[in-house]
Amino acid sequence: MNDAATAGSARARELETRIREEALFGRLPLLKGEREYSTRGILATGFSYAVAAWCFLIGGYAANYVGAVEGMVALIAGSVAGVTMSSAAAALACNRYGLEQIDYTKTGFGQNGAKLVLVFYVINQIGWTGMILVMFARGLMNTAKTFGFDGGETLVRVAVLVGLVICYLVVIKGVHVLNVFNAIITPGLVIACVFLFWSIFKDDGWSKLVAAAPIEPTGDGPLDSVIAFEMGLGAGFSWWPGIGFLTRNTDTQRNSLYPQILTMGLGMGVVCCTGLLAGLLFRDGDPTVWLPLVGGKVFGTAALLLLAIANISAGAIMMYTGALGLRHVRALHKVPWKTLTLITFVPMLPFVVAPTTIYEKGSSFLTYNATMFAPIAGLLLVDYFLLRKQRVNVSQIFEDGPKGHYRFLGGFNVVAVGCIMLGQLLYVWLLNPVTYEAHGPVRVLTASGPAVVVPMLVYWLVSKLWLIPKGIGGYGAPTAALPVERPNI
Amino acid sequence: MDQAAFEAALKDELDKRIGEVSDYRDDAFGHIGAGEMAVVFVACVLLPVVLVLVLR
Repeated sequence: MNDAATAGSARARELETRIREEALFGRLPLLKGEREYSTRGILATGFSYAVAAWCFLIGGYAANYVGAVEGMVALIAGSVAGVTMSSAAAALACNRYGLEQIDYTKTGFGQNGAKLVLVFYVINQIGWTGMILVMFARGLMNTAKTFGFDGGETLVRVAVLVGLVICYLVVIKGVHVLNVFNAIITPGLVIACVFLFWSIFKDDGWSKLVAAAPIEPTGDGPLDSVIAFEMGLGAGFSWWPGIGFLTRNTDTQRNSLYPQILTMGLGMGVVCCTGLLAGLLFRDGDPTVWLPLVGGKVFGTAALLLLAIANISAGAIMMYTGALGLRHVRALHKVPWKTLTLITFVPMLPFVVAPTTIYEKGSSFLTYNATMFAPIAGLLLVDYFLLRKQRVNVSQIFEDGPKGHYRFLGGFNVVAVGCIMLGQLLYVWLLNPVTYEAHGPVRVLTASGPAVVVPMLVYWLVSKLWLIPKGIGGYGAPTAALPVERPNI
Repeated sequence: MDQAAFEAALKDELDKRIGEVSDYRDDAFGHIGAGEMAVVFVACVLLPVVLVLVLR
């Protein structure tokens, strides 16, 4: 009798734990009393996200096109503007309703349309993970080189594979392990940044920096400036997939918005400048090349190792959120976590086969993030603020039945999907993110500007003229909870 | 754990949570109004864009 009662109690506890995990790390709406981040907490977390290894990479890319002053303005302005655009709608909605980001996106794109956004989301996670793992591998290669061992591309390939395996093991064991990593990495990176700024600015560094020409400019000044700005914006927009994951856990609307702008926008922009200035000074944008040059063998090796650990940690977090995102696909609902994570890792294999080739195209990937997320962010702003007046029906987000408010047409808000395609095509026409071939008024209007504003206007107009009068999409419908007939969780 | 029991518990929990978050009023987390959002956009989006275009 006692054994049965103990077993029953253990089952109840296990069930409670799984439900709690489903709320914190899964898709259940997070309640007001469960929010963990106050101002201090979200600032600390946002800062540990912002001071990440890729900042050095982003600054290094910008050093190819612009000088010190122009680059600093472009990177800081771009990342602040990008993060503000990314976080405004998603942060406030995810905070108010405790929603996971892709779930919130269903209100704008439809139950199936949100899965298209999920594809961009997963590309972002896989792309950044791959890039920083190659950076990790090149860091190891260059560290080995300073000790007289030149492993070349083979060592890079092996190290990327090892990095992938470590990330996989961390993800399946639980990302809680990373809290320990981050306790060391974040202060370490802050110290490294301060040391880097000091090293760069000592001995007339500033006058040298101002005089330093960009490494590989296109020769078209205004275009170079726009490319650098688009890199800053790309860095800011890269946060779009992660915003909801953080802000649903904040305690107020203001804490869901301003700390992100301050840390992931302003903070990241400033740290990116380290990469920019070091790149200009040492004439190479690759941090795995200039880090040993800045601080000599000891500091360089320590910094590269720190970067290596930071990259593994960041890679594991991104693969974790990428795998979580795949839970939105009904066919993958019941796939065991280990298998689901493995599926997320499969598209990473090209980074093992041709690491350096892909790494050298990193700046294109950075700009492509602006291409992907600028129109999405703009459209959600119109949908949440202007059309829905900051109110959604949470029960309908989880309703997969044909009468659900966010079914739109066959599960797709065709207007929203059409508008993001319009925005992305417009961006690529204005500034090809791979070749940087430019057309039209890109030098004056930038590429992200029209790619955000035009879809916003078209979406607002077509919604007012068609979606809302036809009663499609639940605009203006009561937000009181309705019974969920076919839950999509 | 029995998957069916977990899914049933998950559905119950989902219904409970949907009910609770749907009842949150506008000011449950401190409302950011249109005026404040406009200031944010001018300061954090328009101003940075203008700075880049003017200072290049």
